Amino acid sequence: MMKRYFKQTWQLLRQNKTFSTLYLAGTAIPVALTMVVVMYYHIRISPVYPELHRDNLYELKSVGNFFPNGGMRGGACSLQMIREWFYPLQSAEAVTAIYYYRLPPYAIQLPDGESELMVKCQATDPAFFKVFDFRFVDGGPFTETDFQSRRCSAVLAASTARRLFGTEQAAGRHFTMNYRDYVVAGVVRDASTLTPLSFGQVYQPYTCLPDYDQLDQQTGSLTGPFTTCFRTTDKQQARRMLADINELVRKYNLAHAAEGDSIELGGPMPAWKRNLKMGNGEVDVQEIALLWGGLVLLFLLVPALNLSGMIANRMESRRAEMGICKAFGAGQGYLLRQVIRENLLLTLAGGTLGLLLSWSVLTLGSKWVLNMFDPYRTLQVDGVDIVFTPSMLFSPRIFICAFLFCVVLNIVSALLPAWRTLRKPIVESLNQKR
Amino acid sequence: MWRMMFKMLSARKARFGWLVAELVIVTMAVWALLDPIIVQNAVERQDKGFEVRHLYRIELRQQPWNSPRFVKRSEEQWRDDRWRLLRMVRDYAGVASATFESSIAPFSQSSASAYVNCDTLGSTVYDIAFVPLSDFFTTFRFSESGRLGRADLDRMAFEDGGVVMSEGTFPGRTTMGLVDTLSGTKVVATTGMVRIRPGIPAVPVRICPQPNMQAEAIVFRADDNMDGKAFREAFADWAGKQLKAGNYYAGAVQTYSEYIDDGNTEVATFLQSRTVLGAFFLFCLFLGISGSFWMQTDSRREEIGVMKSFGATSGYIMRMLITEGLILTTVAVLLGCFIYLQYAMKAGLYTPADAFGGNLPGLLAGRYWFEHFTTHFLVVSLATWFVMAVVACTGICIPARNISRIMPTDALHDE
Repeated sequence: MMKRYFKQTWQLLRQNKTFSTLYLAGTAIPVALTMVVVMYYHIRISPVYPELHRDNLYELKSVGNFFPNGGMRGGACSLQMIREWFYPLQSAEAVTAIYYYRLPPYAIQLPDGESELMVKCQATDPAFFKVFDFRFVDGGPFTETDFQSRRCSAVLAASTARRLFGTEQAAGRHFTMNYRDYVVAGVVRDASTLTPLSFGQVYQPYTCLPDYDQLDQQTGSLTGPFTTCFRTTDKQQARRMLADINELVRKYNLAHAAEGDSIELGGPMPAWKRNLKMGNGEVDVQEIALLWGGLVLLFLLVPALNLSGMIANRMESRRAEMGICKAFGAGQGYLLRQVIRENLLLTLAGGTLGLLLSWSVLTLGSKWVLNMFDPYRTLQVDGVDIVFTPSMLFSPRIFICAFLFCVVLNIVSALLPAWRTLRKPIVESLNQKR
Repeated sequence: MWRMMFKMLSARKARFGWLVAELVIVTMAVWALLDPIIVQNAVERQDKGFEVRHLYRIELRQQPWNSPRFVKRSEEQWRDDRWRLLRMVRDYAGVASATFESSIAPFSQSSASAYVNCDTLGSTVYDIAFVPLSDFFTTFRFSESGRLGRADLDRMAFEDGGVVMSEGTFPGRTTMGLVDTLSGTKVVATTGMVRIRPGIPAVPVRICPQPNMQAEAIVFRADDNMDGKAFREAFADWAGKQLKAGNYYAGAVQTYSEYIDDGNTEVATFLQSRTVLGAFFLFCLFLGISGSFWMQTDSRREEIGVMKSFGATSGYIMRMLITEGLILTTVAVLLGCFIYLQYAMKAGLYTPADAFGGNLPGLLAGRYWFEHFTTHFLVVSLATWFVMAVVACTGICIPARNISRIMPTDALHDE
């Protein structure tokens, strides 16, 4: 039966090439545009390397300290807060702190003594490689001993190791970065700039930063320059972790109630939710969904009107055919399903073209596309190509979205014109041909 | 012809209903997208208030404190090093003049605005810092206003705290000689309005002398007759090797236009995204109109055949069909603009402040056409109609050509 439908659709395509071309183009372009939006948000919120457990990843980078005089100091997490509150947490599988504020530019001095290689450096701790799912191609992460003793030990991204040493097997080798000698602890498969939380070309212990223990905005303050990431095993553990953190905040506020000091945390927030909006402000998921949902609706509505007009015109020319079918006993429902089915196959063909087009646009015009979603260029690093991993572009969620979009577009565009034409009595339909 | 067209459109209102609905929706979408594009393009085309052609910028970098090349210097020595670099640039063949640029300069990363109060008048201005006697005005070539020219300003030491301010800071009153009661500074010379930040139009500025300011860059002007590309390559090569003093060394050499474009990414992205969305809706419209008129090729054969047998030419038929499309478009655009007007009267029309922030209404003070609702609305509506009409005509052309070539005998034979 499916074979018959395909044959019929193919014949219809060949019969009226103009209609077919316009129909396919009119479906492919809106599907391509919509899928670019879907894929961007898929990359930002779905599990992709090295954030393969994004569903169980939480991030905290907004802490507000309130004072009795009405003043307020805002920032990320301080070292004191991380050491006293978060590192000892039992209800999280792993906790890591990442230096969040803008680090000075890091340059690796190349062997010729003159040239330098500018790199994006992440300053973090050994638990970073437990929270994120990096794949080591050589060596391993820097150890707790390296971290505590402030030893200049670093993990390199594979591309950086290749540039420096000509090979990814670089564990144990030395390099100079910002005029300090580092030893390579391990080499990891490159992350993409599209995962800015975990992306780096060099990963070093934050204890290597000059005066790292004075990085907090003020001694004794709970606001500082670190973002904290938590990994949990499941939603239940996540709820326990959030409850524990709320309890810590409550106890702090109670203990400092007499002085009038209090703190508020903007999280921990699920990492996928944090990625929906740049910066560290509140994320209103509903507002974002309404905005993009509205845009997608517009992407759907205008082409649907197009296609409706074309289908209405075409149905007019097929009235006689429909009349004959009805004369032979075909019911209105049967004919309506037939028309919807024919158009669905055409829509799916157009949708497939649109999906291919969206992949091409994303891979060939990645910078241009990202500039539109990310005007402040937080997802791009100078001198680093934007890498799309297969899981970013090929995912069951993406295919399901594309299919659903096609189905909705088909129903919205074909249903009304088909129903209006099929309502006409048999005699009137047959008379049209006379 | 007009009566016949209106009759035909009326007879086909059911078929064209979808098209008109689409035209109305696309009109509103295109209006919303075209508004910022038109306003921002008008802003980008404005005179910047200084001359960008042949203007270059060298970023000044410093050796890191832990670099083996770092040398300890006193404050005076740091200043002397900067002036030495400036003299080296001025002495380079082909350089007409050079000056220092601070962190608050036209199109720099940072900007600072201040409120000035003169007599009973108040206004907001953007600040620009400069080092007196460093050829600042000659190098940038700010527009001249008042009796003192650029060369005169570059000869002044500004020791008594005078400032240069834009003429027109206080509409209807000259700025020359006014004293700011808040800072105590006196306006000793005037210039024109200057574009200070990407995305916003020219605004009043206050150029303040700061003899000991930290220079972020050296800006220089090449001779007008220099070959830009060759000069820049040779200069960049020389600067990379020779332009060093103390802990300073030369960073990137770029034209000032490139420097402005680097900082303009937000504006460029803003306009790009709206252009892409607008192009999408117009493409859908093109498909819709083409599709509708293609589909009618068969159903209107006998009608066209009859018209041709009565002497209508192909050109007449094409003009008739295109005019039908234009009438549909005009009606839909009028409807769409009317609906959008209801929204615009509540939410207002686009201003650069919407996208790029700042206390712009106070700064602009009604100087520009886009600040006046009626003018703004009419300009954008006209542009919308024009764009829609062009797309509609383009979409109708090919099917109209096809229909107009039908032979009357073939058309009537089918009948």
